[in-house]
Amino acid sequence: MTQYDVELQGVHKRFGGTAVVDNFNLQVERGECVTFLGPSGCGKTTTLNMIAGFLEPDGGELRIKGKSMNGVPANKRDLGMVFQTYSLFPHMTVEENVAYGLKLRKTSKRDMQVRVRKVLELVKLPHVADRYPKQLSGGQRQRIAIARALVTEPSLLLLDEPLSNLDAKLREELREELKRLQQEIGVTTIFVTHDQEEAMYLSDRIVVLDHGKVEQIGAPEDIYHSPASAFVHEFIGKSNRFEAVVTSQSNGMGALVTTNGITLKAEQHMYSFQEGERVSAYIRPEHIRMAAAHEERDAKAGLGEDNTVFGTVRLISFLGSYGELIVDVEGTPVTVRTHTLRRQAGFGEGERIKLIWDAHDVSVFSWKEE
Amino acid sequence: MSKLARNKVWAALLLLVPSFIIIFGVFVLPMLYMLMISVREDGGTGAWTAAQYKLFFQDPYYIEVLWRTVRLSLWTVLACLILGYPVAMYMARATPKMRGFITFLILSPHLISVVIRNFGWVVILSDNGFINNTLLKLGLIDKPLRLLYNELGVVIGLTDSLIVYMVLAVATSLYAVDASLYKAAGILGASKARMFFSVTLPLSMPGIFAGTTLVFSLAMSAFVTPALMGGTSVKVMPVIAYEKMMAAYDWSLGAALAFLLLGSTLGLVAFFTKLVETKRHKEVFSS
Repeated sequence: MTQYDVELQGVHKRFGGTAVVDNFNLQVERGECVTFLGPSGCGKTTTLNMIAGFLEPDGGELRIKGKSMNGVPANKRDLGMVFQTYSLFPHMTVEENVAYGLKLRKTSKRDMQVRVRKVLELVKLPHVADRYPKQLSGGQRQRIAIARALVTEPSLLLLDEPLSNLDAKLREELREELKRLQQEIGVTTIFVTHDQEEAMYLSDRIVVLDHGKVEQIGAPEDIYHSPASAFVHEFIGKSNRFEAVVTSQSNGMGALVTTNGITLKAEQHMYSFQEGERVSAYIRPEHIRMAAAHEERDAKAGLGEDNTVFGTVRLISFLGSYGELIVDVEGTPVTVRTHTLRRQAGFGEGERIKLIWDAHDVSVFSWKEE
Repeated sequence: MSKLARNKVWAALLLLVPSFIIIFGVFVLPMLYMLMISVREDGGTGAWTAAQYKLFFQDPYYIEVLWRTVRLSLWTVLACLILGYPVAMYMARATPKMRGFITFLILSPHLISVVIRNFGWVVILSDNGFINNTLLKLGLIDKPLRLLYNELGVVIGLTDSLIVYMVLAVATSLYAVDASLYKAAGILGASKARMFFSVTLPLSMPGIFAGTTLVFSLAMSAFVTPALMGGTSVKVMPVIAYEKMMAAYDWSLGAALAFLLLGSTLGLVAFFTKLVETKRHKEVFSS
């Protein structure tokens, strides 16, 4: 039997009458970085708090390094944790903060000094040992918090939205730093965030949560390209959504008609739809190609493209590395992303253009209530 | 300075005039007058003299009274701290609604006059009071415990009336502690006791210091409670100062005693401050 670093089996937790975490199953391998991702109230923090030992699960089995953690308090779990608010002890110097966990483990003074110095070098702040937390910048504080969590060589590193209190530039910097540290040390990591970009950047696997339920567990690529549910598709990345009815279905290919009368072709992926079923169809903005509308006649003759629709450009936004267009297709606003934003004739606001995408890139799920 | 700024300064000074008149008229002037009485003969008009102060330091009785006053005040501070700290900790973790309720509870005894409150204590603590009667009936003691008209009685009375200052001061400093610090200490391996001594206690130092200063100064100058609950044997400085002035009509000695009390209180508070304000304390708690 493989021993996992973290194992959750049917873990659940209720607050009042609501299930905050519902039948959570997960196995985390040694050295893996797994992210809990979801909107606020999805249960990600509650689950982290149960792993940390701040909350007891109402049921199910939680194991760390093969040992059942039921009834084991936080201070006996040998974990490292980094918090959103840094949570450095304000009355201790940086050195004392970092040494706190070692002191509790009765490390010798000599060994302690060596390890504190080493970990401060690891987070590239060896010169601030004698300062107090309030004399440090936000980014420095979080680095020290990371050092404090790592110095005891914990069996598991827990990160509770550690980057959320930092400004955009620092956040990116520290995110790189975290990835480097995680790979260098190889510590098994559980990361909680509501920021999908952070999640994709740092994790080997992502657990997408909604309303206490696991929606999907998978590598970032899988989550993005093969979302398991309509929720995941809408939550991760940007999506255009069409409500449609399946008019025909054969050999994994289906024809749909949207509520505003557009005909779409779609391949069957995660969800097998039936003829006559009401569905939601999603297409990512970057999967839509644009062409000039004067090819309209050719397209109608059937140019071999899977999906071709016509629309009027309503809004063009330039966002640096890419551009975004909002195109009105029979009353439905469709977002298109392109790396070659063409502001030339034929693609301006108010002009009619052609949008093309492959049936393969359309994801279809059972229709869900708004 | 611009004209507008100058006008603002004048307006501010003008607004301070009423409070200045009151403070100066009913506090500073009488104090100066008392000081004169204590250092000049014939009720503050005669020759300069240090006779009253000399008398104090030469008479072991007065030294004993001052020492008793300090001792009782320190015991009161300790009792307020030990009994009040858990309440403050509970308040810091409670919901705002609960905090309000507890604040009301600990303030509510002060809605009653200190005299009435002390007589309440007499009913509870006297030889045939509630506590002694109960213990006697249960057969736990054969003769009544002396809970009143001794130093213990005074400390009980003072703690009852002053604990509110300690609780509120400590609670205020604990409110400011980020709750995730306890989580951080826990996950790093700290037991509940270790967490208290390494995180909670040091971070509440400003509150402990404020509470100690308040309770100590108020206990040093307390008059009603020691007079009613200490009886004739437990004399403290405010009580003998009062007696000298109102019973013996020795205003000069009474005034000197009052100033010696004030001086010792200020001196001891300054000493606490020195003790608490280490380099680290300044580093951590100064804004």
